[in-house]
Amino acid sequence: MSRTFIRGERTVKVYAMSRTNGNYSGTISRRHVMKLSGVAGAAALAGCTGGESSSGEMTANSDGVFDVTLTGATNEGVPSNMHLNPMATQNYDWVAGNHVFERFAAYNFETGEFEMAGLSDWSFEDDTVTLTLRDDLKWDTGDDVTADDVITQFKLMEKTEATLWDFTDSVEQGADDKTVVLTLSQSTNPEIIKHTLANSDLRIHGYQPVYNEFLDQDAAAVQQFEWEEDVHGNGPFTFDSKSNQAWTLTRNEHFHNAEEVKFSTYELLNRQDNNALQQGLMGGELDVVSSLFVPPSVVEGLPESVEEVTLPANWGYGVIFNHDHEDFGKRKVRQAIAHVINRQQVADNAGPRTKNPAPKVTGISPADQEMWLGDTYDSFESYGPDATQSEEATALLQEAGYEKSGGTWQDSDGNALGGSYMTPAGWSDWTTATNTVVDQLNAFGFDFEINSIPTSDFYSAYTESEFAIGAFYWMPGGARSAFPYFPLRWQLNNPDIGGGHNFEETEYTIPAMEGSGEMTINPFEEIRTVATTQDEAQVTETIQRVAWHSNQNLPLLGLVEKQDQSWLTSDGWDIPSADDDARGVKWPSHWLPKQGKLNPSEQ
Amino acid sequence: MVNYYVRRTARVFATVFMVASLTFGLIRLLPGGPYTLLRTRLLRQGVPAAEVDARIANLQNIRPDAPLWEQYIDYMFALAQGNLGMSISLNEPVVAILAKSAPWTVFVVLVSTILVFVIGITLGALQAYWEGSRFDKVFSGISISLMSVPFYVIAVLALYVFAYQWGWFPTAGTIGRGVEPALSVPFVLSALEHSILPIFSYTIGAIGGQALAMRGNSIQILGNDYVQVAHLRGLSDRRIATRYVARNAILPMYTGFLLLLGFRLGGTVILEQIFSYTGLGYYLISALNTNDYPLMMGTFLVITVALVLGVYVADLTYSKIDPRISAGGSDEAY
Amino acid sequence: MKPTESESVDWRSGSTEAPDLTTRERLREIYDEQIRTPLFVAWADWRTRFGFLILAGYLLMAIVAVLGLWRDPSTNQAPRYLMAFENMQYPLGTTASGVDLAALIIHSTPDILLMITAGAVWATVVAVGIGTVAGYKGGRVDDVLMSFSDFVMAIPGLPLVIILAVTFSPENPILLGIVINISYWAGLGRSLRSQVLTIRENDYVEASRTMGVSTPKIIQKDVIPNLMPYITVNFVFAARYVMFASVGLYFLGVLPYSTQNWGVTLNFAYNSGALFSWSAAHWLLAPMVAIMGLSLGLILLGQGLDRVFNPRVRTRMTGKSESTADTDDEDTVTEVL
Repeated sequence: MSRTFIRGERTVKVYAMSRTNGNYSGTISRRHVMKLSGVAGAAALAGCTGGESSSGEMTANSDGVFDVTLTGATNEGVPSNMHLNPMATQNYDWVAGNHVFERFAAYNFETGEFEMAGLSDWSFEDDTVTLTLRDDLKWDTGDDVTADDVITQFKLMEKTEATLWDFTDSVEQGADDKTVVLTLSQSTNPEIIKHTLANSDLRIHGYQPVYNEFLDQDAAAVQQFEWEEDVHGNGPFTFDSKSNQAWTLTRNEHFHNAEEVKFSTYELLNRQDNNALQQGLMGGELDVVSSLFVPPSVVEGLPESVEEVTLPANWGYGVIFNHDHEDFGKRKVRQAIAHVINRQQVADNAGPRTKNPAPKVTGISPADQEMWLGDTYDSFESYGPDATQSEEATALLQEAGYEKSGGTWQDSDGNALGGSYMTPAGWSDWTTATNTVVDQLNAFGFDFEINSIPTSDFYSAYTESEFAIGAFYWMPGGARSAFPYFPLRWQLNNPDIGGGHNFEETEYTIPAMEGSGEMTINPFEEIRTVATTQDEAQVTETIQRVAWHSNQNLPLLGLVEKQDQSWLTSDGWDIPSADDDARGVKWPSHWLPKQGKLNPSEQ
Repeated sequence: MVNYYVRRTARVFATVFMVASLTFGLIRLLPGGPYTLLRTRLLRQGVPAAEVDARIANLQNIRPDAPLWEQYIDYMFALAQGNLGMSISLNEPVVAILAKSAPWTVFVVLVSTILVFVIGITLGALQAYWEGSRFDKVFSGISISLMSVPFYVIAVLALYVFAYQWGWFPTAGTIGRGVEPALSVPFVLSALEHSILPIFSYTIGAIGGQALAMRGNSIQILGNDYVQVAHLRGLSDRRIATRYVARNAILPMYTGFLLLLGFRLGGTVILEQIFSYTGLGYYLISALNTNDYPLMMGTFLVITVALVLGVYVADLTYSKIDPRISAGGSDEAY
Repeated sequence: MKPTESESVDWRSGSTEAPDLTTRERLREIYDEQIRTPLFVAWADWRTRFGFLILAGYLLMAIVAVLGLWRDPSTNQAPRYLMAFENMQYPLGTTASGVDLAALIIHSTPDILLMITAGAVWATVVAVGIGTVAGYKGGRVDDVLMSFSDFVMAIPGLPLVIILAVTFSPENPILLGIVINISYWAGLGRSLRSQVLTIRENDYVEASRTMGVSTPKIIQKDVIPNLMPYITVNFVFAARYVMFASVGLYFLGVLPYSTQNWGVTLNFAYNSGALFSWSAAHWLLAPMVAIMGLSLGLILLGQGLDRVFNPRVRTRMTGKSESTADTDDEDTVTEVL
């Protein structure tokens, strides 16, 4: 295959290549030519690619495909150590895998709707789900992707205990070899099934010649399988090669939307950390990055051509309590803490552009709170999102039996109210948030000390319940979290730390949603009913009740929500405009090429 | 004399053995199991928690947890056969990973240390020769200033300016993309190209110290009588410089050289992170982050063995250069 | 070190001789010889002068911090991202969370000074202990101690420190200093030992030995004073190593932190993209200047002291003749990192 000139490559190399090869083909952009004359050095220093159109003369071959490379990045690990088996426990590079394998469907954060991808349709009956694969969905060998492939994959997923099997009893082929029928173990809420199928890490990868042999082995066998050779996928790009430095993927002509993909190569450079990725964007070495946190000061310095796409992360910084703790197990103490913390300030310190405080404190994504809470929205407690509500907090603490003496809150034994506040050492924006939160709490009279733990240890401290209070995310993230069932339930049993926050599964008495008086609710039971209810109105009501419980009882205190930042470039590439809904699917660098919306600019 | 060599060689083996045992013990002390980071990663990737637990449980079944002493004996035996175990995080034999990465680290450290020495000595000697002159003062000043700047600061700045902003050098990696790791001209060129910035950052800060030390030594020696006598005898400047001054001035710096080698081998953990240079230091840190015991032990051990071998070689050659040593006297080169 | 030097120190340091001097007079002489004169000589050299001044400056900052004369750093105490010198209330500017940079720098100083002193003391004391005993005693003791020392020297410093730091998460600055320098003493110990080998052949030492003075006393009174120059200089360099290593490790994110520290500030600034934007550059520069300033002070002091104790290094003209056997191990500068 012809040698493509990778954007950002060293000038000498480009020059030498052209001389030895003899075919100084027109694939070198004007930008490279300028670099050769050393002028770009000064221009790059000024940090601009401004003005000059950088796509030079590019000639498409007969299919209308340009011999151009889109350069992205992966920070999963050194590519030569990684592989492409999505079911493996370790070393699967999802950034590469998402290009090689198509997904079933996708959730669009802009529209709030699901979009079909590998499926052409899905339908939900009481106890069956029918999935129809696209007619033109093929492996890169040219063979069709059949229901058998998918069934093989699902059977393997049963071995590995994938969540799909939480509600599925059996799978079989439907009317033809493009239809798969799932028989449910009980009536299930279609939203849950849709989110499970549309989860971005669920890929159609059951290539039978490779995966059939695992059907009669242990789960461990397929989870240890490292697929590095003879990799066959059905996505827009196929695996070509990988080295220490990068993955090289080439255009898959059998992809169902191949006519819309107009460039030949996708490279994923191996970049370790955020700084390297940020510098890559600044210097033009990287065209796209799937997801990268870029602090505001750096965003200002990025070239004009770099486009940012922000999507809700449904994840963010919050406070986790150990409900067995004598102080933080008390609702009033938790509520007092919520009143004291000024969420807006935390957001402004930790990432003013990409973090926003949740308007109401509960287990629903901030962007969707109004929609789901409807009329009840106003009665939800906001705990002063942009202020420190000292009066309310003081009243609550006094009611709980604490007194403030000498500027510090103490309990009846004279012990200061506070302790060790855990926080993970690895994320700098979280460290800033923690510093802000602890400063605010200490200014009010608590007595906290920050205990920063390495990320590898961080989870175990929570899992073992060896903590009093600390920083943790308050929603599990992912498209799933757009459906409140998932985050609300997650806040209660917190499977990520095995329930280490000790929130007991029992009935709780909290103020009533309307008027005065009280209500009792077992949030665990109620949220479970959502899984099996198909009536939308009932689902909404249950969600509101459980959300109300979350708001009053604070199993987890949600403070700010993060926006994921995804990066594209318009320097040499056509990208959709800011109001195009196609930008709403995670991740744009994966989704847009498939729709034909990320292609080289023609002249 | 033979006795000395034999004893010295036996020492090497003894040291390696002890270090291997120490490494084994040390790494067992590390907190957190080997899968905590994997878990974090999978969760962030979007895999539901229950599934994550199931996956990891399966992985653990493959590795039986034998009692500690048994693991130690197994480890030492395997080590004697050259088997460093299997990396948990990368699923490859540790020896394979290290074989690929060790040459790069050794290359960078060796080249940069030799450069530091050569340039430092030359500079120091010149400064001593023109002592008190402008040249001397200016370079002393420069040396001192450079010594205040840690190498990683220089590395970060160099990377930013020369690689990202001006694009003169590659931003990461040991060789270029698509270059075949065979002994060919493009390979060598690419390898050189990628190693220039690391070597530069590692070298430039350290030159100052060596230059000043050499200068000090040389000045002392130049003040000695036997140098005056040689001069009076009519020996050429050049002969005096090499046979008398240089030799005597450099000898004491040997200790420094060996210590330097040690510190620099260790310092690669920082240097390679900055440049994403996949050498031993890089893998040590990534093994540390994933709590990958076998890889960590292997890398640590290899770095140590490299140091031990380096010191051993230096010891042997030192005894050749300094006749006082081979006369018996004190055992060691120092 | 040099016979002339040691001789001049020696016959007046009066270990067991000169019974006619009162204690007070003896102390006065010690003060004169060992402290006052060297100090004068040192001050005359511009390097030590500058080094002292710089270090005094840091000491002053530490005192200010301990006495609470400058506000404590905390978030949102000032507008965010103030540039340096923009507002004289916050002379060094502020960070992204509105923390006063000057406060950050000042309040980190006591811990940092503690850390580097602890590390330097540890390295020096252990080195002196092992080096002198091994050198003086010789024989079996020497073999054992030197084997141990070799073993420690064979272990690469930073990787060992990283593993220990992750294992024990030392937060106490003194503990941290010791951990960072845990194997630093080995090289020093060796050099000291060689020097002791030479010193122990001297007449006065032999005299003390025949008079039946106990070993510890001999080491203390006869051996160590001769090594003081070497020890002092390397003490300073050990301190500098701790400084560099600690910052490097904070940079890597390997060291845990619970209080502020220049390395931590540097790490934050770097991760918040201060390298790329002018508006945040002061956040990166302030700790860097603090770090380099302290290093510079230590280096200057070390260099200056070296010249003080090595009068011949000042200029070749003042050279005196001596046997080559003593020009062993003249290298006092151990350049690391």
